[in-house]
Amino acid sequence: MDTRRQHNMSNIEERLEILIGRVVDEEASDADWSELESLAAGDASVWRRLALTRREHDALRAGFEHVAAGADRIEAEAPGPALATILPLRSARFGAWSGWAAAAALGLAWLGVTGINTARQQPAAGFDDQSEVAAVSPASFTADEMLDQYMARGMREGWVLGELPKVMVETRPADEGDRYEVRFIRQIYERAYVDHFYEEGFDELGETQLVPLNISNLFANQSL
Amino acid sequence: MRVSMEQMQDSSQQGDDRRARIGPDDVQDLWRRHRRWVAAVLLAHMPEGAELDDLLQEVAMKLVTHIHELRDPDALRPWLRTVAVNAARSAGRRRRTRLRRNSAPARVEATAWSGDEADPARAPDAREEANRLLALARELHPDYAEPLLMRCVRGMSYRQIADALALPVTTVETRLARARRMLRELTERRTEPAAHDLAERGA
Repeated sequence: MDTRRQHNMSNIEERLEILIGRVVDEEASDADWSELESLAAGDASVWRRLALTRREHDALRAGFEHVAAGADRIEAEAPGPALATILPLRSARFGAWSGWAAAAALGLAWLGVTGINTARQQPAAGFDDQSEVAAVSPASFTADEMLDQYMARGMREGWVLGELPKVMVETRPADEGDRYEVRFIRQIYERAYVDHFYEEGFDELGETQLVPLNISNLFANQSL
Repeated sequence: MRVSMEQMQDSSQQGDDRRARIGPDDVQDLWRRHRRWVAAVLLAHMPEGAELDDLLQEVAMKLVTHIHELRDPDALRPWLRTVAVNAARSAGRRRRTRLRRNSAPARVEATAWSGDEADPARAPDAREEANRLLALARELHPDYAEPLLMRCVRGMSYRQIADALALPVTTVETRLARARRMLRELTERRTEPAAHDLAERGA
């Protein structure tokens, strides 16, 4: 078989695949159908390939739809009810700022408001001793002091490993005064020791259930 | 006044004015309309072991917090796709870092189809084939897996896929055709050894 003939066959093959794809994807025009029929007139296996491609597409779609159905549980929740009005306002007010200058100013504000993470890891003065804590009503603590206690005790007992850098979610002008509201996520890095792992599975009725996971096998496989 | 995303996408001329009037409900509607194909993009790019739900949440959060930065409403699909691809790549980097730190990471798979609750007559063979094909499709190079999985989203046309990928429709068609051929070849390669084993055992 000479090179030109091989090339022609390869082109026909690719064209056939595109036509079959259009039919399967319901994008075929009348002209595409006519072309496919004329190709099939010389090669009956075209119909078999079409059927096979359609079957594979349906199966793949079924698999995808099941996995992607989880997407329907994910909602795009706005961080706050005032988002719609605040965002354009923020754009207008900061519109003239250059990007880096705004970032630098917000970064300074960030440090000023929240302090440095390592400071947070030290227990609050006067509240280190658990006996003292027990003697004081929780109502007399501020939220920060209570969190400090949580961190201090966790670190002492080994289940708190530290606090990760805060993640800024949103900054915007505060409703009152010449200040800014900064919304952020605090992440405490902890550890726990567990005896068993479970994974989500399904029983014979299709109900979700937790299935024990043999973790030693899992780890053995992973280390291969 | 609420503005639908169709209206927003009609023209980029008045984009700034319209953006100013997009409310949280509009963002929610927008997300609901696009999240299925975003899932397809993530599945094509995310590393094995990553959680699809986590990445979808990450993309949804980006949409909520950055939609106002989108200057051209017509660029919504490519922008959302870029956000999704970046989220998937970040997950890959995080996973590689975790693997370096811990030689025994927990393995978590995307939930596979384990049954059709609405139709108990659907044979286990059908769901096995569906799961197998999806797993094989995810093994393809993302250039091919992405349009193939996007085409699995009902109602997503070649034109819409091309818009999201910022490619000509003809390129999308060619990639789809090649993706299907590669998927079939991969399927044959995986089933041939099994068939060979069975034949040997029978003999």
